[in-house]
Amino acid sequence: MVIVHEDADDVVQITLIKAWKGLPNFKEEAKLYTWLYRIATNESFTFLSNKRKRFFIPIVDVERELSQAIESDEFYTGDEIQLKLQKAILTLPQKQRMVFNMKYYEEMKYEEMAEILSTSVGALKASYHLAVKKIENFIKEV
Amino acid sequence: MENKNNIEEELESIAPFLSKIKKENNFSTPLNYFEILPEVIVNRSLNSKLFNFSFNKFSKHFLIPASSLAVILLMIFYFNRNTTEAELTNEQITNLIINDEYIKIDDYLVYDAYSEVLDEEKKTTSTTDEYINYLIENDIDINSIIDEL
Repeated sequence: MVIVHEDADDVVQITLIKAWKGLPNFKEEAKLYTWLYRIATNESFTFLSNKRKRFFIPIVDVERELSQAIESDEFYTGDEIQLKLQKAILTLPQKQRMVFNMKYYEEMKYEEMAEILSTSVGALKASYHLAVKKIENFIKEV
Repeated sequence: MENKNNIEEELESIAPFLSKIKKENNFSTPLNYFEILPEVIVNRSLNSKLFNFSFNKFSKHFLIPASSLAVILLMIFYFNRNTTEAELTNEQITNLIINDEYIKIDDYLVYDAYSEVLDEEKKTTSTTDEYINYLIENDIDINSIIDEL
C-alpha cells in the first residue's frame, strides 16, 4: 500500500507496537490474523493520510509520488510489465487499491475482507470488479 | 485451492489481459530485516514510552486552565467587537450635534467667536470708506493717482 520500503517498515513497526499494546483487549471472536490485518490496514491509511497532510499535497499527488518512488526503490525487483501493473494499481482510490491487493495478491475470501475492512461482501465484489476493469484498461492503453 | 481457482476464473472473465500477467510479489526487504525487527520494535516502543507525554483531557489539571483561557479569549473578542471604530458621515455628525445635543455649545461662545470675524469685516469696510472720503474732501482726481503709478 505504501510502496516505499522505509514507509512500509514504519507501518509494520507501528502496527506491531499497537497490536502489543492492544493485546489485552483482543477478543478471541476474531482470528489473530484478521485482527492484525485490520490494524495494519488502518495504519496504512493513516500513514498515507498523514503524509498528505504533512507535505500539504493532494491525494492524487501522493499516488503520483509513489508511482515515481517505485521506479527508484532499490527493494522493488519487478520487470517492466510488473512495474506497469503497480502503476496501474496506484491509479485506484486508496480503499479500492486495498481491496484489489487483498484479493489479487493475498487471495483472500470476500468474507475475510469484509471483516477486516468492515464492508459488505457485495460492496467488496463491486469494488474489486471495478478495480480490475480500471487496471485492465490502464495496462492496455499505456 | 478452490478459492484460488475461483479467483483466477473470476479474473479471466473480467480482465483477460490482466489474468495473463504473472502474479508475483516484487517487493523485497533488506538482508536480515526480519531478524532485527523485534529488537527495532522493542527499542522504538521504549523510546516512545520515554517521550510519550500524555494527559487526560477531562482532568481538572487540563480543564481549569483551558476554560480560563477560553474565557479570556472570549472577553478579548467581545471588547474588541464593541470598540470597533465606525466612520460617520457629515449628516450623521450634524444630527448628533443638533438633535441629540451630543455637544452642548454655549451661545455666548458662538457670539464671541463670530464677533471677531464681524470686527475684521468692519475694519476692512471702514478703511475703504475713509479712503474715499479723503479723496472727496481733498478733491483729488483718481486719474492723477493712476498716472503717478
